[in-house]
Amino acid sequence: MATPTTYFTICSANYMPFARTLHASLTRHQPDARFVLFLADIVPDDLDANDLPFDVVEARTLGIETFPDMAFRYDIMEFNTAIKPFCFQKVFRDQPGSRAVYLDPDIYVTAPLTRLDEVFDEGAELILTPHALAPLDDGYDPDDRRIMQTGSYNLGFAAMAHATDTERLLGWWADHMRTRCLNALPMGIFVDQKFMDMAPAFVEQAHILRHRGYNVAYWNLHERPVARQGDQYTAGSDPLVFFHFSGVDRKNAEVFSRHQNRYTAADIGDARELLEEYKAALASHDEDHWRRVPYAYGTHKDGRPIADFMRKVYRRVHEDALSVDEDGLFTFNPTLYNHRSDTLLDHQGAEITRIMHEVWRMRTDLRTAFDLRRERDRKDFAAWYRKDGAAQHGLPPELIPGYEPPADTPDAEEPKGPTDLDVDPSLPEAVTLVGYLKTESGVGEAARNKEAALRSAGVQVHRRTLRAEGFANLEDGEEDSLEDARILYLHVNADRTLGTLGTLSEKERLGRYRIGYWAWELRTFPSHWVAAADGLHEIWVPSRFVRDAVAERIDKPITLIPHPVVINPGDRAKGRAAMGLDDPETLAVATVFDTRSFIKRKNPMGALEAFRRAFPDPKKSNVRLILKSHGPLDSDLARQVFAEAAGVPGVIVKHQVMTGQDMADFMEGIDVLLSPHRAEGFGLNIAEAMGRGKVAIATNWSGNTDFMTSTNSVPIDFSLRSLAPGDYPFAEGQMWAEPNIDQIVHALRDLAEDIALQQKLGQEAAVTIGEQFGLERIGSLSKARIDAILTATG
Amino acid sequence: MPPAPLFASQGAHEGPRQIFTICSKNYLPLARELAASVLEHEPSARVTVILSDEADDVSAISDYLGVSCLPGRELPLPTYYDMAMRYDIVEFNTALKPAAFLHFMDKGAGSIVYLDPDIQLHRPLTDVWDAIAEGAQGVITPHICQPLDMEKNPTELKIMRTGIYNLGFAALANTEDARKFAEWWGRRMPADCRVDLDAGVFVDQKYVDLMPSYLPRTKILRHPGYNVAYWNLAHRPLARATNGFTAAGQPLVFMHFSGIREDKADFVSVHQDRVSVADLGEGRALFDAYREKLRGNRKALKEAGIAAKYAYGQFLTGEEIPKLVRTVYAKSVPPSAKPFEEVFDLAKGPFNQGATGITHKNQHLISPVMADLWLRKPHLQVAFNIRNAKEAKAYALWFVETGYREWDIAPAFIPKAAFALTDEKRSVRARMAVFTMKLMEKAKFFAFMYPKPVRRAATRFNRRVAPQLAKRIKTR
Repeated sequence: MATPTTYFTICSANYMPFARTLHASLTRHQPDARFVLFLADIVPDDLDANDLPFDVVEARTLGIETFPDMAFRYDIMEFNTAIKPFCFQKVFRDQPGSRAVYLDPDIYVTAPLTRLDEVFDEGAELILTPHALAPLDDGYDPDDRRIMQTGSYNLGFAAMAHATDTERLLGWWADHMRTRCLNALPMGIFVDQKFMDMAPAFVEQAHILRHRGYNVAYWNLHERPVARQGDQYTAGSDPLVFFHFSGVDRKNAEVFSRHQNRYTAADIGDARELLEEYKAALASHDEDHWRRVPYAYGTHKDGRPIADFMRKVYRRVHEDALSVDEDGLFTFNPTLYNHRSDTLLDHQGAEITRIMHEVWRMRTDLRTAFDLRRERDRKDFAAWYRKDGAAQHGLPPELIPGYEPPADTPDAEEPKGPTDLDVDPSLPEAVTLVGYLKTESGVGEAARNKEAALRSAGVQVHRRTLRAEGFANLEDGEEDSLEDARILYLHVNADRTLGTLGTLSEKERLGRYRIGYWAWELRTFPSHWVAAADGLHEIWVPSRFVRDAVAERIDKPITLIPHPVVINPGDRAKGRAAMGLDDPETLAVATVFDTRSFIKRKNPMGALEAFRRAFPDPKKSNVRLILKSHGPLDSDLARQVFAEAAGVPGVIVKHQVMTGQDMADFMEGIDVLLSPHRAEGFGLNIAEAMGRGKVAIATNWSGNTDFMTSTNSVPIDFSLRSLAPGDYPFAEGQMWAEPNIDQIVHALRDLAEDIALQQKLGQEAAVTIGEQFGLERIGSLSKARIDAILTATG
Repeated sequence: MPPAPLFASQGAHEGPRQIFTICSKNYLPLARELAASVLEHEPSARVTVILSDEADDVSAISDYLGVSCLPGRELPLPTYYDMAMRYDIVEFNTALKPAAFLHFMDKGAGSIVYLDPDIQLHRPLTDVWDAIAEGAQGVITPHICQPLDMEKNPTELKIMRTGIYNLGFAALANTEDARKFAEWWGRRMPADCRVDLDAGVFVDQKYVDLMPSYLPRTKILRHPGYNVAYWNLAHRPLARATNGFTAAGQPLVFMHFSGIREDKADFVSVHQDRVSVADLGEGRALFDAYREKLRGNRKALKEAGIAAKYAYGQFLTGEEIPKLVRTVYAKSVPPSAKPFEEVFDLAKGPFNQGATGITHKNQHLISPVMADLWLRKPHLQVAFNIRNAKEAKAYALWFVETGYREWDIAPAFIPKAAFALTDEKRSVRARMAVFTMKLMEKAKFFAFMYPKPVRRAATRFNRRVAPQLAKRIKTR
């Protein structure tokens, strides 16, 4: 006689189609399986539970002593996970000695779960599945560290046999779940899941199931690709048993899972068919209707929604569970939230209530803007909360200190926005250049070069300086001018355009012909930024690559004005000394990146690999690779690049901000610039190196193809590849270039051996850059367009 | 665990058995006792002490220990010296572990066991060798095998944050899978072997939560005689039996005296408040005997003429390296393969230039160490807003007048320009204020002469009031 097994899931009413899909898929393969739905909710009035093909047990009947407290303390997600151990306990109470298998509602079964019985029969009392069986350290989310924070084992699945150890484990787990089922990673807590890292220590007969067919999801597809053979699916070398569609997005065909950035639906192989099948199954269970069914514990008795901030206040005030009846807890109680915050010592000037403090805690921007230990900031924050904050977060007016219902007043007329595009012909023929004109960074330097180019062509330029956080400012330089000009030239990118226009007064903005200078590094321009063009008359771009991307989306005049490439004289000997190169014969190959922008785009890992393969013994070949970088070291990926570099012989790391002269010396000191980039908007570093007569080895794709040819540099072949969602902002549906590393290896070796080739390419490069991007040429290109604009608007 | 196929681990356990520990010179007396206990109970194993320190005479240390000693710099670890600066002594010692495992794999060991230097072996590691012979590729011991509670330290939650398994012990078989695991683990060590609980990182130990996932056939060894320490003593009472001690009724294999003080008899461990000496029962004799051994070994160390000072605790020019300085280094210098002379040269580091992240004209007055202290101390943030040029100058003034002594930061980590502020011409009022600040600071300096309330007042004044005073001098 086989030991009876109960399969169960937990969800609220809005997830009913998921539970039904799970049940249908399970019983298709195991027709006799006993299945129970534990409803973390109350059965809706319009549903007759008897119509469902399985038993439904409401959570409130589980016999949890502090049930109302849990239902109020937790939001819907937390609550669904928190009752899990209580459900196991209930199954074992009803059927002592039996087995129970929990499956998340978003699981889809494709084969019988027979391996579980085998493992149980061998003596296991607890079966868990690891998130992954191989490291996740490719720079995407989730990674190893995320798994260490959220739990080694995925608790979308757990199977237990009723025994002494499991009963003790459940008691311990349930005890924590009363109050500690939180998403609090800094405290080392992640809902119910992280606690189960302890399970293999507490249960002697714990079995960590390594069968690759169980619990396949976005966190382990890298080590178990899904393939279809006839009717059967496989995951890695095992038959697929159940897929966990965590983060599924029914409305978006491109999205595989919302909780990760490693894959799009196009990258998951045959699992895509399964995903489509699964979405269709959800739709057949009327997901569109159910998703809007309200959550019974989401509102107060009077129907007023319970905001998450209210739950947070409650949790902070009542760390231990309260034994209060449901009616009491679910009656709206403004005094709980309007009490002055207990954790803030000083309330002088403006009292900060508990709920206000929660809002402040949750938003990084508020924490940066208001230091609540200062009176001034408290007042400003309270004013913001009164005016916007409460409404923004859907908090009722009763939670605004001193609130009184407003008298009826007609709405004031909306002020006119910056979309008014009339140009005032009476304004003088001059250009106001708005940009980071005093910032010590690449962006700042580009703006200053644009200014110099315009002036060299005789255009009258007025300055309007923007300040950038986190960069040093040049203290000298010309001051801003408030004089009028008919052209307003915004040297800021699309994402900053509307914000920058907003900082200008109406007088500075209206009546001007407004030009934006936009760059972008991928093939398709982000649709999010298209609206920024509404505030502009015209857009200037640095390369044909950017022009094509912008033109595809925006119907405004677009003018190609490249960046001027300004070659400040540098001292080669000084530059080489700073790199630690004492032999003038040593071939210095440099690769340059900023840890702040996306490292995957610049591809320093590709440079390291190519260099390692080209020169196994760089001392003998007399070659060095200089990794020039700057920026914070706060991403795991950045730290990994350097750790990797430390293990490659012949690599010199220069991680520091280099300003004007040091940078010029550095660029003069190198011989080859290696850029295995996956995409570039223009490629200013490459152009500058070429302008100095250095040899550029770079991927033959994107902005740099405007000036790189096989006679002045070494363009590298590539294959186009889809971006993963985490590769770059707005990566969805984009492609970029994967350079051919073999070719770089050959190019590096050829150059190391052939000084004549270096010289020939370098000379050609300097000529090209001088002709195409000299200050005068860019100046006259700009002036020609400006003159045309002035004539047209005069 | 399913039965292992007959020849699954062929070769793995057939090579020699290697047992090793890692320590700096200050822990040599402990390592000596470990080595002696290992030689007694595992006479056939190779035993190595890896020295995470510099030594002029390695053979003298080897003689002292009675086993071979391998300087850490000889491990396959290109960023060795960078790590010696980036990490404090505890982090650094743990960070060498994966590289050491890989080193012994390269040397052809069959199975490799790491033991913390504060461990004492009482019986052979039979269950470990048996597990490996049965096919296990890794063996680890959980801190606890039963729930603790949330009342005393360490709580269950603390164990969940620092790692389920205690890395005072770990064993790997020399297999392809185990090597891959050690390589993955080792890749995290150059930059991410730190104590950063909020980020889910705790030295080398927290990563091993993933060993049962990433290394097939990992044995979780729950035998109560292995790795007995303050975190599990509540469940594993020690008792004397006819042939040695038992823990929870099972033969005691090794004790882990984590946090012991050799000079304090009434003390179990500095890291906890869970177990007192009175709770040890018969086990108390174990602690007393161990402390006795340590005292003897400490004496022998002196007699052998071996200096116990940690070589990576100061710059070449002698300035002590406080934790603050290591943090600044870790934040601003990427991992790199630099020689000792370069890493420990104060002038070559990022220590007394202006801090990055400050953009105003007084940036040069605030060194990274000063900025880091400010970031850690809320009351300093209230007193000064160093993102503002004027207040940054006031902060620098407070720092050079009293602050650096208050927080024990060497002048070498402060820009010269900041010291020059003290030469600026001042009003009589301002000079009076500075005089008061210094007076109160002196009151703390000669603390032993004054009663406690005065000392407290002086400390409070220096930490809370002096900053406000400095701000007034400069901003009026």
